[in-house]
Order: sequence, then C-alpha cells, then structure tokens
Amino acid sequence: MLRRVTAIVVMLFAISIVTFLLFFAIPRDPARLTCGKVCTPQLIAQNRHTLGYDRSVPAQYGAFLKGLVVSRNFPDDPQLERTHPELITHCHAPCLGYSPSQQTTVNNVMGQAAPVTLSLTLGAFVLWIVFGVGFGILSALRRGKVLDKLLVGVSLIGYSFPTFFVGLILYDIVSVKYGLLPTPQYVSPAHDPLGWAAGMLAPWITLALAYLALYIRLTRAKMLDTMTEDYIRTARAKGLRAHRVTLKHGLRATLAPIVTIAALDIAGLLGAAAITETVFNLNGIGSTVIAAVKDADLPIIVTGVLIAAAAVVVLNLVVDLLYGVIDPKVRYS
Amino acid sequence: MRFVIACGVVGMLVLTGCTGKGGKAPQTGNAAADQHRGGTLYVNTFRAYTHLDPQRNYYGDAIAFESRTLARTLTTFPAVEGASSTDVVADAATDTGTRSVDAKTWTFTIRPDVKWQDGKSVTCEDFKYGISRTFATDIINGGPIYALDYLNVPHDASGQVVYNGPFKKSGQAGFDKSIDCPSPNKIVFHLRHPVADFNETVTLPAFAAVRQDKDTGAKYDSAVFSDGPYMIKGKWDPVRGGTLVRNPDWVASSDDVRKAYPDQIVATFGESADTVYQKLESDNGSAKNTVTTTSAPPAAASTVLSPAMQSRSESVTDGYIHYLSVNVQKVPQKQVRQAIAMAVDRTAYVTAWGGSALGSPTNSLISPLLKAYTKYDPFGVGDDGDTVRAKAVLEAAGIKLPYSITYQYPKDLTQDKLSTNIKSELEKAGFKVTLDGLNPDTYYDVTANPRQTGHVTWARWAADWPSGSTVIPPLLDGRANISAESLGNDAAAYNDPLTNKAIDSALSLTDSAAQQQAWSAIDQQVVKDGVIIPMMADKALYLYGSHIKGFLLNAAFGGYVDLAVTAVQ
Amino acid sequence: MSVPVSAVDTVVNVAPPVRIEGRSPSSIVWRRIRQDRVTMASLYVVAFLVLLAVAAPFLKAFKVIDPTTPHPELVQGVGSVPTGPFSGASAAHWLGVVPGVGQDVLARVLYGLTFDFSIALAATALTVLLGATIGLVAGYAGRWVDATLGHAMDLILAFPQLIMLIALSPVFLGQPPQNTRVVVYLIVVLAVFAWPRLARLVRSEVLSAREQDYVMAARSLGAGPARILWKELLPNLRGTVLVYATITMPVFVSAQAALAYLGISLQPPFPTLGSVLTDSVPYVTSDPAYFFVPGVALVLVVLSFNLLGDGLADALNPRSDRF
Repeated sequence: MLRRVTAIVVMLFAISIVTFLLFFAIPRDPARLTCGKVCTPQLIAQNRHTLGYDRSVPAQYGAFLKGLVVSRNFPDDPQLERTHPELITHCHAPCLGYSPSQQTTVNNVMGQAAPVTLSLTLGAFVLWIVFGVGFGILSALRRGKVLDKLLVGVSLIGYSFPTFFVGLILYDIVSVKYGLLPTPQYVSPAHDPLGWAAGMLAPWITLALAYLALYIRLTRAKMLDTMTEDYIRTARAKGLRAHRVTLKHGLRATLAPIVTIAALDIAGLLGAAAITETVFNLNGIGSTVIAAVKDADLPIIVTGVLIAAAAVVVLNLVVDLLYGVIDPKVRYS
Repeated sequence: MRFVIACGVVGMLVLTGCTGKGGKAPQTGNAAADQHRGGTLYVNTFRAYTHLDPQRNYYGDAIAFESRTLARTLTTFPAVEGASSTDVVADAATDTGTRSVDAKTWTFTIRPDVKWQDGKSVTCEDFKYGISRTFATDIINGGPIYALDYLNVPHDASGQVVYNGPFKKSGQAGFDKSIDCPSPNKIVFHLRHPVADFNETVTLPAFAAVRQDKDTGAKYDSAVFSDGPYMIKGKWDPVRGGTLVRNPDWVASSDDVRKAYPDQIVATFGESADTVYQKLESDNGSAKNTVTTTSAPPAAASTVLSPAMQSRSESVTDGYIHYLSVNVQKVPQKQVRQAIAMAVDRTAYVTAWGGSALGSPTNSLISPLLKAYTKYDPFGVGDDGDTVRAKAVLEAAGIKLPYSITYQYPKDLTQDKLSTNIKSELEKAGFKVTLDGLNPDTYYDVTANPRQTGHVTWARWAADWPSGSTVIPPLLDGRANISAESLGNDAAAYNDPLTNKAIDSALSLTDSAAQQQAWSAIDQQVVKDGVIIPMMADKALYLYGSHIKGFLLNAAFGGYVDLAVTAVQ
Repeated sequence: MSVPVSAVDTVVNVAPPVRIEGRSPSSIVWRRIRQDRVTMASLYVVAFLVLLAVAAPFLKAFKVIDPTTPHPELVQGVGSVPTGPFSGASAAHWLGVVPGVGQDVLARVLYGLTFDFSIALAATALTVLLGATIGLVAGYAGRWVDATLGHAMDLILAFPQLIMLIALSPVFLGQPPQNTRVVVYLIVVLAVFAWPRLARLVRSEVLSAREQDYVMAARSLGAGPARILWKELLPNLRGTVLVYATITMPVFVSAQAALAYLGISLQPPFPTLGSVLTDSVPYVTSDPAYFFVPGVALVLVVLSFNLLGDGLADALNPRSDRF
C-alpha cells in the first residue's frame, strides 16, 4: 500500500516534469502574445520578466514546486510590493501559478472550474451507469428479441455521432430552438439545486451518450457470460425461475467488473469532458485549458493537465483497492 | 483603433444615415422607451470584453458598453440615429471644450454633480490620474496610446516617452506639466502638436477618470470604480461577464446622454455566435430582454432577415473596412502587388462573408461613412476583379510563374471560405498560394511580427473617431509602426518617405475639409501601389429580444447597440 | 475522442485468443461472420466506403469530382445559402454546394473520406506496430523490462488525451502549419496516446500464452526468444489485434472530427470529414440538406466500423456458440 502511494507520488512528479518540459521549453513566446499591439522590444522583455519566463526552465519548475509549499507573489517585484501592495496578486500555497490571460491565480481559475467539471462528469456518470446497466440487463434478458436489437442499435447510433455534434444539436436545436430541454447553463447546486439539474441536463446527456452504448454492450456481454456459468446452471437446474436466477446471481457477478471499469472511465472523463464543456460554454477544467491553449497561457495548461492526470492515477489506485475488496483473490501486499 | 477579427472591435465614425434597414419607418424609440424604466437587460455576446479597465479598453463593443455604463468621459457621442450621432457632445464636461488658437491647449470644465459610486465628486485630478495610467505600459497594456503621442510629456532621443506611469513614477514631473488642474473642476491639456479634434480624442475611455485610491493595477479590469449610471455588482469576470446595478450616486440631471432605463444589466460572454442567435430567434425567457454585440453569422443571416424577424432586426454599415496588406519587403515588385489587387474578386468576397446584407465591395481603406471617402476604381477591373489581366501584368513584367505567396488570415469557418476564394482567384492569375489560417486570438501579434508575417495578410480596421487621421497615420506611417520587433499595424512593412511626408503635411492642416482630402489622396496612392487592397465595407446585422425598446445602433460607436437609450419592457 | 476504458474492455472480454480447433481457425471465423447478417452488412458498407475513399483521388485527378473550386454564383440566396432547394442540388452537384463559397458537397465528403481514412489507417497501423511490439516485449521479457514499460504505459495513459492533442498542436504544428505537418502530427499523436491500451492487452495475452503447452514445447525444442515471439506468440494475437484495429479506426475518425471542430485540420480548401461537418452544423435551419450530408457520412463510417468490430469479436469468441 505504502509502495503504491509512493509510486503515485513519483508518477505525478514524472508527469509534472514531462508537462513542464513540453510546454515551457517550446519555442513560443507568451510574453509577446500578452504584449498587445503597441509592442516594443523593451515591453516584451518587461513582460517576460513579469511572467517569469526570463528564467531557465528548471528554475521555473523549481519556482512552481516551491509555490506548492510556500505562497508566491505576482509579479514577484519587491520594490513594487513596497510602494503599491494593491498591485500585487498574492497566491497562497499550494500555489499553482498566475494566469496572464485571466489575470488571476490559477488556483482561482481552477477553483471556479472544478465544480463545473465535477457536476458534469458525475451527473453524466450516473446517467450512463443507470441507463447503461439497466438497458444492458434488459437486453441480455431479451437476447435476440426486438427490444435487445433496438436498445443496442439505437445506443450504437448515438455513440457514432461525435460528441461535439451531439452537443451542438442538443444545445442549439433541441434546447434553444425547440425548448425540448431546459436551456443549458451552470448554476451552483448550493444556490439552486433544481436549476442546476435542469441546466446540466443537456450536457449530461451529451457526455453520457459517448459511454452509454459501451456500457449496454458490456453489461449485456457480462450478463450473458455469467448466465452460462456453472452455478447459474445449477441454480436453474434446481428449479429456480430463470429471471430470478439471472438477477440474483448474474447481476452481482456482472456489476463487479463494471464498477471497476466505470471508475477507470470516470478518471479519464475529466479530459473527455472538455469538448462537452466547450460546446455548452461551461467553464470547466477542460474548456478552460482549451481556451488557455489559444492564449498560450502555460500555467493553466500545465495545471489542467496535472489535475486530469492526477485524477487518473489516483482513481487507478482506488480501483485496485476496490478490486481487492470485490474479488478476494486479488490482494495487494 | 484596433483591428477587429470576429465581430467587432472599436469604431467611431461619421456616417450618413446608414442605420436601419431600407423601408423601415424611422424609430420613434425613445419616447416609447421612457415608459419602460426598470427591469433587467441582458447583453449576450460571443467575445468577452476582456478589458473594462478604461485605459486598456480598445475594442469597439467594450468601449460602447463601458462608455454608457461605467465610465463617463469629458465628451462623448450622442445616442441618436443617423449622421448626427458623430457630432461630439459634452458629457462629464459642461461643453465640448475650448481650444487655443494653435490647437495645442485644450480646456474643459467638469460638471460639479458628476459623482463616483461612493458619492465623491469627480475631479480634474481623477481625470489626470486616469490618463496617466496609459503611460504605465508594463501594467496597463492593450489600450490606445494617443496620450503618449499627444500630451506634451518629455521624450528621449530615441522618441520614447520618459514617463512610466503613476505606479513607478519615473518622470512624473514631466507628465504633471502636460495636464493642469487649476481647480478641481477645470482641466487643461497641453499638447505636443496641434490636434484640432482633441475633443473627439477624449471620447475614448482611455481618457476617462480613475480614482487613485481605487486603482488596483492589472486587477482593475474586474473592479472598475464607476462614475457612470451603473456600477459593478460584486466582481466583474473578464472572461465570463458580470452584473451591473444602478450607481445610487449618479445624478440624472448631470447626464444629457444616458437615460439608464434598466435597473440591472447582465453581461454574458462565450456562447458561440450561432447559439447567441438561436436564443434570440427563439425569444424565450431572458432572450426577450437580450441584445448582443455579436453580429449575425452568415448561417443565421437568412433567418434574421426573414419577414418573421424583421420587427426585431437591424443592420448598419459599421465603419469597418476589410483589407489585405501586401508586404512590400516580401513582394517588392509593384507589378506583382498590382496583379494581386486586380485578381481578387470583391463580389465573391462579399458572398462568402454572408452576402450583401453583411457587407459591400469597396476600393478604399477609408470607410464610406467618413468625409475622407472618395469612390474610385484604381485598376478599372470593377468589383469582380480580372484574373486574365492580372496574369498579363505579371507576364509583361517578366515575373517567373507560378509566384509563391503565403496568405495569412484569422481562422474560422467564414474566413476559410474567404481565403478559399482568394486562393482560387490568385492561382488563376499565376500565383501559388499557401493559406495560413492562424489562431484568431493572437492573429495580429503574428502578422505584426516581422519574422512571421506573410506575403499577404488580412485585416479589418475602423476609425477611432470620425476622421481619416485615425485611419491613414496608424496604418501607413512606417515610422510609428515599425521597429525591430514589430510591424505594429503596418503588416505591409510599408515605410515610404514620400507617404510619410504626405502624412506629416496632412496632419499639420487646420482646415478639416482639406485634411480629409489629403487623407483620401494618400489612400488612393497606396491602393494603386498594391500595398493595401481594400475588399469590403462591413455591415453589422443584429437581432434583439421582443421586449427591447428603443433599440439603437450607434454609428459613432462602431454600429454597436447604444445602451444609453435601451430599455426593457 | 479518447478510447473509453470500457471500449477496450469490451474487446478484451469478447475476444480471447483463438484456440486450435481442428479446422483452420480463420475458416471457422469466416464461416461465423458469413452467418451474421449485421456483420456482413457492415462489412459491405465498410468495403464500399473504403472503395470510395480510394477512388476519390483518382476521380479528382480525372476531373470527375472537384472538391475545392469555388462557385460563388451558385450561392446567391439570402445569407449566401445555395440558390435552389436541397442545398442547390443539380446534375452537376448531386448533393448541392457549400453555402458561401459554392464548392461541391459530394466531392468534399468523398475527398474528406480519403483523408480521414488515410490518417486513421496510418495512425492505427502505428498504434498496432507500437502496441503489439511493446506488448510482446513486455510480456515476454518480464522482470524489469516489463516493469519499466508498464510505468511508461501508465504515464502515457495518465495524460488526458484530447487535451494533450490540442495543447500540443501549437508546439508541434509550428507556423505556418503546413498540411504535411498536420498529417504527421495527427498520425503520430493519435497513435502515441493509443498504443498503451493495446500493449496491455497483448502483454496479458502473452503472459497467459507463455505458459501454454505449445510455447513450452517450442522452447524445450530449443527455439530462441525471437523465434518464439515471431512464430508462436504473434500469430495467436492476430484476433485481438484485428478487433482492436477495427474499433480503433472509427475512434480515430471521430477524434479527427473533434479536432477539426477545435480548429486542428488541413488548411482550406482541402476538405476533411471533420471540417465539412463543423462547417455544416450552423446551417441546420438555413440549409438543412447541407447540414444532413456530412453528418450522415460520418455516422455511417463510425457505425459500420463499430458493427464490424463487434461482429469480428463475436466470431473470434468461441463461447458465443453456446447460446
């Protein structure tokens, strides 16, 4: 267990170094991009200094790591801080950096984006698990019947549309033009839980559709597999009704692997949600990073990638542990 | 004035009755709007008003928004329809200012009842402090820099201003001499050279007041302290928008321009133009109370122009000119540049932009709304261009074909179509064209970079105030634009001594009509040289919610909706 | 865009390695496929689409189709939509023309198909090459080689793929973004983030196959590791690899569409399915026929490949006979 946690920390370090090298070492000049139209060599140099890009990549990485434990100031200009403390943006530890495009700390940006992404991913997850598993079981029980073909067929067609296409249709046409779904928007669930659910409905459906078909097929396949297992046959032979057997024994055996896979899918969802967020103008982590790419806003890109990667790594560990609980054959030393 | 990429950057211009669709009865709007005080007005717009900090605000939509809500200027343009909107009127000042005979000293008297949102009076010192922020180019970047050029502040040998703003205060004494505050409500500007229309320059929010004790530097964008009829509720988010509520200390009688009908204004940014228009077309819920500063995209144009939408749609020639710059260093032969200019098809350009409802062909860098505009056809090829003649010109000049060029443009769906046409036409004329669609957010930074700019680059421009002086010098004066690191607004890298001389002599003219004629002459000459290829005079097409009253597109503010008189039912 | 874990797992679970069953395995598989109507139908559709994609460049060369030349005179409706119903469909332009610029829609879709298929195929090939090789090596070598490769795979899989594809584009596409660079970028980056999943599958199958009798026998007969990898293990992985490749193709086509939506695509006027689709979406009300065509084309591609992959997996899975 301790070894696993150590491995995760090492992995996150590795990810942060790779990300830093990729994005900070590239021959682009964010100082230029933030310089505006009236740009002189002096202004570019000034900007580069303000943003800290005049330092070496290892030094910038060092400053980033240091910011995780002690707070940082932006711009880091002791003279200005003495005369005009109100011009300095203070970033408390763990400090993730300063976004030149949004003119605030990355902590603030991500703090606002995280609830949006969490709302989107968790809601979509619930939707696809409930309907995916439900329809999957139905399909398995009705194997070869019309309902089976309909469920599998329709969900596959839904899966075949690219997410941005489904999203645009649900947003512009279904929600806005015909008002068949509530207008998509994010409101805080703490203030208005109903409005939150209504506003997130279309995004949830969009994101869930990308997974629904897979879960229907997965559940269906697992159910069919389990239904041929010896103990189910035995139970049936003992005279138990087919449906009860399936539901009682089959379901339990089916759910375990699905929960595991679902946890892994949800880890990757942070990145996959980016398109949905962009289409629905939800300011989540993914869409914020995509916007930051356009502005060459490196601190946001690096932090976004790190958050998404950390989610994957941590949920991997959770899944491993979970698997140990579900399946006693697997234990971690 | 800055360029625009998507829809709309700054613009103030002269115009001749260009608001409104043909055949529609003139608006009786404002009398009707008077009965509709209160309610919430929504402004739903694709591109964020990134800089609400008045000294950094240089985009037309954001200027139109801020000027009517948060920042009063000494003078402004009135909220009226038609050409008279460009006749400058008093705002925070009692009149439109008095100038000395040499137009180098300008004096304004500030009204006593112009108040900050905490009830304190707006003073000369506040204006002076606000204007001084423009000089702090390390923190207050992005805005217009007329103050640096116009105010009589010492410059060093290399032409750089020695004052670096109110934060670091190096050279403060030199700046202090350029603006006098003989009393709290009297402000005197001392200029480096004559500026006959300085009272129009100060309509820009860059010349608005800022209270020193409320200044938060780079963070001021989200915490503008208001002296207008509204103030920011909580915090303004430069990316997502925010809510404005009434400024309780604004005195209606002190303001001849702003009616301030709605109680609240909610601005939302980031939705795609298509979504903005879907919402406006559906006219459900808050869409009824919504206006936008995003012009209708081509795909929405047919719906917006349909009879069903006619009662709540409006279009205006907004003053923006689309043009191509041909880089004179990369394409040194005049004949090659002229061949490019002859080959391009302006009719096809307008079609790809969305049709005649969204623009009309032009051959002048100066908008038809300006007095400096002259209609002419430099090569006698009409709007459709002539690829055969263009090729003949190339062959006659002994140019080896195909001639390879790179065409740069800010990439989006419509621009892809414009560039497809241009590539097709130029290739018929014997060019080999590589299209280079660039990220719109940083487009002008690339084209202004001497190491990255292409042979031909797309741009869009409108005047800062209705004069050729905000078109020709900012775009074509190589001395002001070109440095080792930047081409400024002059992607053509055009730095012609004769043109520069002509610009100097035009600027020194005190007779307005003569000056405008001089601008037109320079315009025609650079177009004939194939340095600048004007393509289209832009039209903006807007749809608004059914509960909006007194909808007015103000040509003086880039044709954007004028919030001074907008009411909700 | 990214391959959901569940997608891979569907494959793992339905496609164990083919076992020797007396008759040649491929003939058994082929017989199963032929009995499955849906799979056969999807096979025909895939074959037809591939044929179109292969033909398009030749049709263009012989001037039968022209995906790039503008015809502004055909788009004179309000807002520059095509003149005439059904997106201005005519004998010369069967599926009408593009609003604003008047290029032939059919030609653009066909040519886009060629591009998307080429990229997806090349990226899939690279994925299979990397995934199968590294998976084989990791599974066969074991010990520290396996551990190191495993960590590398974990590292790559931890990155959010879509975000990386977009974020890395300005880094590698440079300026100006030449079309050849876009092509190489798409192929390499799609493959780089996809191979670890296949490598894991291959590795686990190698692990189990290593202990199988026929491998043991080969080893005791003195076969070297290279020979065992190449002659004994690889052929038995064909099923897994084939199914994985089939479901990866549509994922890569969708991914290209998503990237095109976000602006990473060929420079115009060259069409890709994604760029044509992205352009068509806003015209849902003003030019519905134009909206319809690229969407249907893309769904046809993704759906047929997915169904084919499903059918293949079923056919390769002997247990499916039991029901």
